[in-house]
Amino acid sequence: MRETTARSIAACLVMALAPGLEAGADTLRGRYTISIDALANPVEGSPRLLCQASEETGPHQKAEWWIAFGEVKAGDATTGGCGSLQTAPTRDAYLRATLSTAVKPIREGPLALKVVLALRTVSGLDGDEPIYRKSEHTREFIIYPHTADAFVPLFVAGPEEQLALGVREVMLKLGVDVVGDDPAQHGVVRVLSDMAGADLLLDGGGVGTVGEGVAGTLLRNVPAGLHEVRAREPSGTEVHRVVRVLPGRTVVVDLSAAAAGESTSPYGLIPLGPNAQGYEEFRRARDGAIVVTVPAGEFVMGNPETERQPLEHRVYVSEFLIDKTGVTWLQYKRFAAATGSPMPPEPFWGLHDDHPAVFVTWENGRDYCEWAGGRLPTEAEREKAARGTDKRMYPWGDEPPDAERAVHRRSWGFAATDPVGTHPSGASPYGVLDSAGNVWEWCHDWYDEDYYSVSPERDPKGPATGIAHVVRGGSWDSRPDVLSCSCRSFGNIGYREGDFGFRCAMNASD
Amino acid sequence: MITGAALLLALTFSSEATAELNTSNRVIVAADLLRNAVDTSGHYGCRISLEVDESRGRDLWFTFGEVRPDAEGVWKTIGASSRCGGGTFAAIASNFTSRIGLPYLIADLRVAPARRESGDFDLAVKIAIRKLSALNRSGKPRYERSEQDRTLDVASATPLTLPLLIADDTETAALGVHEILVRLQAEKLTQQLAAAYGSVAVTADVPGARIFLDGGFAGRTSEGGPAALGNVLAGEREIRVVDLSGREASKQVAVKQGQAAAAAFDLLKLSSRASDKALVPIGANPQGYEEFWRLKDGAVVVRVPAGEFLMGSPEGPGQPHERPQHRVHVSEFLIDKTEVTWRQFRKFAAQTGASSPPMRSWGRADDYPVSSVTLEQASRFCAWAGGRLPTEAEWEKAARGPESLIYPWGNTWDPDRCNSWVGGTNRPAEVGSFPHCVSPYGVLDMAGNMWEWCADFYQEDYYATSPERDPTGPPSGRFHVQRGGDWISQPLFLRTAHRYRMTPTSEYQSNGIRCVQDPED
Repeated sequence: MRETTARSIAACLVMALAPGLEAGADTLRGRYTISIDALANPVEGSPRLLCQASEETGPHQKAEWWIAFGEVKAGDATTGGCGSLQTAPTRDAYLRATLSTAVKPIREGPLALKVVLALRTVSGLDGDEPIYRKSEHTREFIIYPHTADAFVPLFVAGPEEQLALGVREVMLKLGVDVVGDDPAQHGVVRVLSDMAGADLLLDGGGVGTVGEGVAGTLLRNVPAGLHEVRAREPSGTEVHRVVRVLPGRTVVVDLSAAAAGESTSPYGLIPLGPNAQGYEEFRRARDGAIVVTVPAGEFVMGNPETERQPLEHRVYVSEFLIDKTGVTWLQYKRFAAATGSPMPPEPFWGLHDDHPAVFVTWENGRDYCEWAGGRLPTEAEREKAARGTDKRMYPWGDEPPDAERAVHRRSWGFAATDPVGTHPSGASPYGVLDSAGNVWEWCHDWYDEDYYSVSPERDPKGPATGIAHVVRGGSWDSRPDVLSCSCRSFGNIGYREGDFGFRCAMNASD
Repeated sequence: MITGAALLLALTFSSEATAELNTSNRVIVAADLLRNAVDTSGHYGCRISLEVDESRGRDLWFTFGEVRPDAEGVWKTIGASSRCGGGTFAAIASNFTSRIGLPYLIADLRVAPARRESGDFDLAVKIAIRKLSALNRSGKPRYERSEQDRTLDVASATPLTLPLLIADDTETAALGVHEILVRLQAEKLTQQLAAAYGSVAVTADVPGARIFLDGGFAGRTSEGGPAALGNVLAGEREIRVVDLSGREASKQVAVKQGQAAAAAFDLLKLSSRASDKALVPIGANPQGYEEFWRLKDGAVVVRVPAGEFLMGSPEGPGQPHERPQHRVHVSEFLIDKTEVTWRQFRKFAAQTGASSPPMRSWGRADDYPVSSVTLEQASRFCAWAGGRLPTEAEWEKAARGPESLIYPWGNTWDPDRCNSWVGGTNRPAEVGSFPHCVSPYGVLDMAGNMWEWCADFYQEDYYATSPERDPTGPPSGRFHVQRGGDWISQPLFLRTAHRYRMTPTSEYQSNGIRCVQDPED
């Protein structure tokens, strides 16, 4: 039993799926507040809140709601309302929606909100009686409590409706909060700057000086909200940024003198010529990553000798580019500073610029890659980049891993990442580094144990949905055989771990 | 001369006397692309924020989806990413199309100050949307273009959310979304640009107590020196300190610019309770059981009175080795309120020269439970501290109480109580950070966080023959008992009756320690 849940003991089988999703509703006691807002975007002016309603529910417990907008006959757009279904008015409205919601708890941050939405809008009049157009949708949203909401357009007005009702759209906003959750009120700002010694000002008040070193200067206890952070050198050089501090999170702000005048050339790939293995490499302007071209063609995916015995099958993968190494903390900090994304928790060994970023969720990886101009690699791309086309066991061949070739668990006492790209003898046939070991890397694909039996032959992209994503490559905490190119594992939505990182892929140029 | 109080008033954030710097000409516009995906891959796409001032507007762009012609020249989607940037899309278009493909949807937004009324200004948002009409067709691609004007109210807290794309069935199939929305929010930078900061040094006679700054969690108390709270806004601040049994104290401190204010707390009142014994009484916990401060390692121990309880599980739930459920009398003992922390273990290692267990990715911060300890390290620690490892019966009684609860807190499963696979932090947590993960005696983390070594050898059918009073386990065995589950345990393992076995030499990542001791006379 235990061996299957303890991920550092198990080999490929890293994690169990969240049992909370399968547990019976009556056995769970978490409480959630679901709130719905209906917002009208008028033809002129700024959005108007039509109505608001909220209800406390338990996990998997259905709550039902109504929303109405516009009177049928009077053509009066100003009326609207919403509430729980029991209180629904009987008068007819131009737009009438009923919805049912249910929260599915997921581990850690996010919650899944399942929404069944039934919509009726007037499509014409039969004499005095309105004729309704009906539609029904079932949606599922991943929502982070307290910080994020989901939106659904309920109604998009045509030209005549805009005239008659005075609105362009009616939007539904859905939010979920955990009841009794004690949200922190302060956050942390991590300032990155090359202006060591410069005065650091938070909202105009001095909070010390810019420190030396790559980890940046930490400002703790900053109240949540917008703040201006400014670095000012005695010479008069100033750089400032405005950041949104989120409760209980760390935001990074880049106050480099160099970054102040940064021009945008987001997706430039600067050719570097072929690598030692003969494959073209480029430097990606936005994050400085080196990317390697992997040519189009077939390879054998899966290896029955690995622990979970993945089926061997031929797969054609179109040409693509993949990062030579995993995304580093330096790169991640730039991303966080540029986008305002919170930083992941810091591992005990620190945020070293040349080490791979860890404690990142799948969504963090996806967001990073999109910012950098790429995307997460598919599972097939990840395996091909590591393995080449000759069915080898490991990126370097069939010999088992040693400390020279790959970072893995050499003893119980060793527990941290290595800088990326420091094990060149472990290079793959395409010259991709750290394909085995150091950190598990998120792939684009949803995880399904049986996917290989149904996957397409060309460019498989994984199952349509799931609750966990594929990770590949093994880590500093893995047994040697887990480093095999074909070994599959997975991590749930929202999961963070000290040995989970990622690298990006890009579509090839013509 | 300005008095201290007057100076303080002048520095207070909310003070009306302070001249407010006018910052109304700086507005931060945050723009998010939201994708309502058909699966649960999340709906937050690219995000960008820009500073807009009175004098000029700013441009930004979003794209969603990428297409390329396949071998037959038919335009196919090759991706469904969302991307964004500052400036106009035209500036990066050639780079984008050569490297990535043609965007399926392009939105160029221009945000400009519109008018100024009563000190506020609105933002005029011009949105130009281009959508490719060539999906699944060959030939030269064409963009359908539409434009609209919107108003974003800076004074209003309501963001403007509007659809850029309502996908039809073909688009949903090709791009995996129902809708693409953009959300715009404008916020004035209202923080006063003359804020002043100082720091607060918090000391308490108990380490690991939570510190709240104006009601928000700000850290934990340390030992051997104050815990420093940096860049605290100048003014009157409330510092509250709460220990793991809910003993709390608060103080108002005057934080002055560039100075360290001090806040010292005597939560346990140890000084007035001076004693020559190893255990200093500190009063009853909220559950009504006496607690003591163990001087040797700085730990709170709880008295568990003598008495009977039902050990194991009845027929039905649970696993066979938890049966038969049987009545056991356990003599009075004291048990550690929390798992042994690194702070405690370091004292032991420093005094005895004992080696430290291996470090895991979550590190060895003071308030984290010590992990990866072998049975021998665990029992040596407890002996040094003046106690021993608990027997299986003592452990189970401390976890479930005289009423033999299924879980430490009661008989109903609750994922949010403890640090486990279902409701936890995905990593070990600082001890006592789940205050509702509490047993009837006020003992914390008896489910989840770390497995805890027991003194007993493991024997599957031991309950069939165990004595009624103070059972101490079978005389020998290959394994020792561990109890309580850990941070990656499923609900089954978090039941108080759950038994686990472990090789004594194991350095498994979740091997933790909790000690007991016999009452002093």
